[in-house]
Amino acid sequence: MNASSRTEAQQRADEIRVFQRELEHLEREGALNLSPEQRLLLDSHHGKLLAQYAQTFDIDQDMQAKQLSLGMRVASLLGALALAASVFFLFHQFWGRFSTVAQVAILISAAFATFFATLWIQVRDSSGYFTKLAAMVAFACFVLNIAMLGQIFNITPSDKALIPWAALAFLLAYTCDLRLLQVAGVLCLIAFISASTGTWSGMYWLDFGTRPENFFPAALALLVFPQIVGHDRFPGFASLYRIFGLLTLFLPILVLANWGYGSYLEAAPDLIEGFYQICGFAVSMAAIILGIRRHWPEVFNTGIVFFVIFLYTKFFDWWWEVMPKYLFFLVLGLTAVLFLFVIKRLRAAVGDGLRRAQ
Amino acid sequence: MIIWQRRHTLIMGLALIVMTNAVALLGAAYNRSGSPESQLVLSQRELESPDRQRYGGEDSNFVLRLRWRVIQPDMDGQNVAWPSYYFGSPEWLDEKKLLELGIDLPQVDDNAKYRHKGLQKDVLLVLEMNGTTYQRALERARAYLAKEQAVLNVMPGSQEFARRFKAASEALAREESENSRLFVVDAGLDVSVLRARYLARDRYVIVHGRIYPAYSHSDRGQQDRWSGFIGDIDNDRISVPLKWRQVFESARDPGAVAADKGTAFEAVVAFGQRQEPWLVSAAASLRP
Repeated sequence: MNASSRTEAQQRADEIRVFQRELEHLEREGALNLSPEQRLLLDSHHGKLLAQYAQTFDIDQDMQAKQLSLGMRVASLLGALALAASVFFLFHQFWGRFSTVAQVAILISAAFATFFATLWIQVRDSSGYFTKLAAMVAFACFVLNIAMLGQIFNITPSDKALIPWAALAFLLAYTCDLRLLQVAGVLCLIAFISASTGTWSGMYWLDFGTRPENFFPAALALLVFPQIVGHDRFPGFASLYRIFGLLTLFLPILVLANWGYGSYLEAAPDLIEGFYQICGFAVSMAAIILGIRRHWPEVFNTGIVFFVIFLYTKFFDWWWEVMPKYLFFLVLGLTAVLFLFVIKRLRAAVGDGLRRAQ
Repeated sequence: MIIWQRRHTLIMGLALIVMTNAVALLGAAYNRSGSPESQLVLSQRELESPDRQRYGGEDSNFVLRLRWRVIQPDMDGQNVAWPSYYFGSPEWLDEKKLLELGIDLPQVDDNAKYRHKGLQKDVLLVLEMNGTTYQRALERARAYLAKEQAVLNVMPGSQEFARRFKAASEALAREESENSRLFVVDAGLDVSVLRARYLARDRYVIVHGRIYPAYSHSDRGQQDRWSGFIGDIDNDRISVPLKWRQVFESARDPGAVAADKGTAFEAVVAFGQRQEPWLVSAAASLRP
């Protein structure tokens, strides 16, 4: 069967459908003719595969199912977030009416119960949507477990709490193939690494945002991790690490490109802003080139987006005050058109390169 | 190579939940072990009632907040009439003290002034309850009243001076019966060093907090200088267990209590080995 997750199975099913459509075109154009035995063997193999996937992973078997699935994914995401918020407010609504012992017991048993429930649901839910809801509630209960223990016993707030939260989020993400929980884990990890970097430099851990450079080690970790640890069995996970790694890199650069006072560097703010503006362009160009070379569309797209943001920010600095507004926006529009031509040439060059390689 | 199975996930998840809760609960138990590091008797003047309107009034949590103050330089009675809570730049937190606390004060230029704004350092702060600092605050309020009295005596018909005298009287009344008697009086980096300096455990408590430097420009003929601000105190919020909730249910702000419109209370708050507080006891009391 070869697919170990729903994502892999769905990807294979989509590839089979595309292959079948292309085969029909080729036969109609006379480019390829399979013998009746070959055709029978092929159809039988594909039929068995799709049936197995449908039974085991509840995949979308056609376009309408795919569209409905998209709706289910949106509903599942919103439902997961709403249920997590509901747990949070439920605790706060009734909390004060319990004794301390009861409060501690409720917190710990809620964390255990929702974790068990998630694993129990996962075995029975081939679609994964209900598992996502349960996993989000389990994560919310665990976060509340620790946060509210801290409140009950007046424990000093610490960035160390982010470690178990990230650990549980990743455990659920990898076990249940849930990228939403992976995002939760990544956010906890970014916060912890950035807070630790801030603490090492002598600041209070909650102030890590006042120095955007604190985010760079986290960005590096997220970009390097999928290169060291293979994620073939978890489609989409590596891309998510790269996207968040780039966001964690680009957003602080963007802030520092406009607010030099926030930097650790001891230099005039204008110089710092100029330095980070150059960094912004250089890093976004590097992301674009890397995205093309490694066939990482998410890296390419993120690089393009931030290159445009840095460019438009410079246009604003240079021309907003001196140009009439219609001319300013005309320049932005023409720049976008220029981008279209450049990317089209890039696409053609990549296509030529692929053809030559074949 | 281990093939990851569902039971591994179960074991890992259980271990994670158990260990995290164990660390939190053992830490709380350690904090409360042995004799408290300090123990204060506080009233509604020093403990602010919870914000009942949090989350649209749907928060049943009961959390008190320590109402701490600092003695700030007097500025024409402003800091006497309306002392600020939860923030301030005390006179003792000057440039010398900031350097003692290990805060790096750079060469002063426009960049440095702005760059260091708001960058907080974690330190230990000493809170004093109903001690010499509170007596100083009372003396300042009396001196402020005496000064306004003297001015009014010179021009008894003046409405403006009469208004100022009334404000000074009210300021003294508030200082005597409403304002908090809990002041931040010192800062340091070592608990044992501070405790050696402030021995009375029923008057002085040492807590974690944050300070930050700011370069202030003086328009009063004084030198521009670095000074320190106290930004925040850790653990200034104290959760109220269910058994004492009733004591605080009818509590109101100190102003209402002083005007016979609310219940006064006395609460014993202990601070443990990790400088984390807990409520030892609470009871309604006669108004102070």
